[in-house]
Amino acid sequence: MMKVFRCPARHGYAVEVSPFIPNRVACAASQHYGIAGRGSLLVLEETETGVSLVRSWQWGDGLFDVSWSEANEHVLVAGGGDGSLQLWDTANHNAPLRVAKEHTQEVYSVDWSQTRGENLIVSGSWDQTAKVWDPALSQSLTTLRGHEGVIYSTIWSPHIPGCFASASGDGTLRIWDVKSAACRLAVPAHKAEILNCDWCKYDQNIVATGSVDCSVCVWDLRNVRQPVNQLLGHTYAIRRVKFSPFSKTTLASCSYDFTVRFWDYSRNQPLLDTVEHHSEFVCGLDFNLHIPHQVTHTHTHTHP
Amino acid sequence: MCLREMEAVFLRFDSFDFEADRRFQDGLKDLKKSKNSSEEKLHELKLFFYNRFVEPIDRHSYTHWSCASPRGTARDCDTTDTRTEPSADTQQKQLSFAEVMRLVQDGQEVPGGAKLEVKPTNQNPTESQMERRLKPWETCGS
Repeated sequence: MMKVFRCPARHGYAVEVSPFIPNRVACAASQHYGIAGRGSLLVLEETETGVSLVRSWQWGDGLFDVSWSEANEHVLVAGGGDGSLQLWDTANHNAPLRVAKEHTQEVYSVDWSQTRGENLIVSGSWDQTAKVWDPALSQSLTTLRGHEGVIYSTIWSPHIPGCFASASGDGTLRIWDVKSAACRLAVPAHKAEILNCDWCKYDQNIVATGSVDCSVCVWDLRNVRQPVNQLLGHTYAIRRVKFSPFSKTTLASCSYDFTVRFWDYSRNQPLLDTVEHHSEFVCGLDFNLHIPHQVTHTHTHTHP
Repeated sequence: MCLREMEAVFLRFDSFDFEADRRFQDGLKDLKKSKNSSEEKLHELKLFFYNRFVEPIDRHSYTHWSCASPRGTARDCDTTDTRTEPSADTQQKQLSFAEVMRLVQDGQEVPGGAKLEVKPTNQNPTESQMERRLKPWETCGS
């Protein structure tokens, strides 16, 4: 069964399931394909009959990514085309709680750390830097430089404290250590731009990358000379990859070829399923953390 | 690379004479041998070839651009028309990707995109009342 929410004149870029409330998702969206105009942040809830809008906010520039706080069910952070991060509160405010503007170009990724005893935000920008922030977004704690292209994706390791992965237009996947503010590993993962990456939830050494070369590669960080597996099938650039929260070897990818594909990277024939009901580019994707087999995705366009 | 430069590359790619390029035609013969010469494969090959031998082309943006372009070079794109969106939000026509690009390049106002200044409240977050649930991978003792 599939439930759909359409927001007129907005293009969805990211969708993230709440860590607290199983039927709640946040969606970052932009007007005019993210090139010009405003952004919207939507909080949606799945009901028995469909999907309903809980709250929506407008922002002066396009919004490209969103992440829920892991410590407070009301709070979420979004990244915008104006280089800003904004902290939002679902409970009662019309405006963001906080705005931090340090990046000089588009913020394309934000992520809230999930490891115990840590409460940090990481952002990745087209200005080629990643920044780490405290949860109040007061001032960035550190700025990480090294990528030679725009950063499309920054994701905290779910297991290793102070460690995140980044994917860049320079074709590398990088692993960073926040404490020493250093790049621990740079993997020339694709000969093309890498638009996204994600960590395996059951093996702290496994990371997947999705690229404009149409492939998803799965890497074991202990030996990066070649990927553990290369997942082929998409016919256009891969916009997002996510590992399943329930299974060690299952992951999903969505692509500019309008499909979402499910893979088991441990198999010789890794493709499990292809979902083709989108009529536009699929940009956002998330597994429901609470309900096995439920997946949410968003596309850049809102026409049926 | 700014939008104008990018679009120039895309237009050059669209008008590139692949028929007359020997290296490309040689590559094409190999592709045909593999009995897998779909339109899509051919298009992919053109992009690959162009990026490698002519000039760098960002395929990711090209796909987006050509798909939304009124000239409609890519397949199954139903977004090229400018249908009216009965939207309470804007009540305006849906612009194509290329139309928006052109407006931005020419420094013109994009309809419905009037400047919006949102100021932060600098308030503290609403107090949390929920315990965070354990992630599925935290519950199975792994």
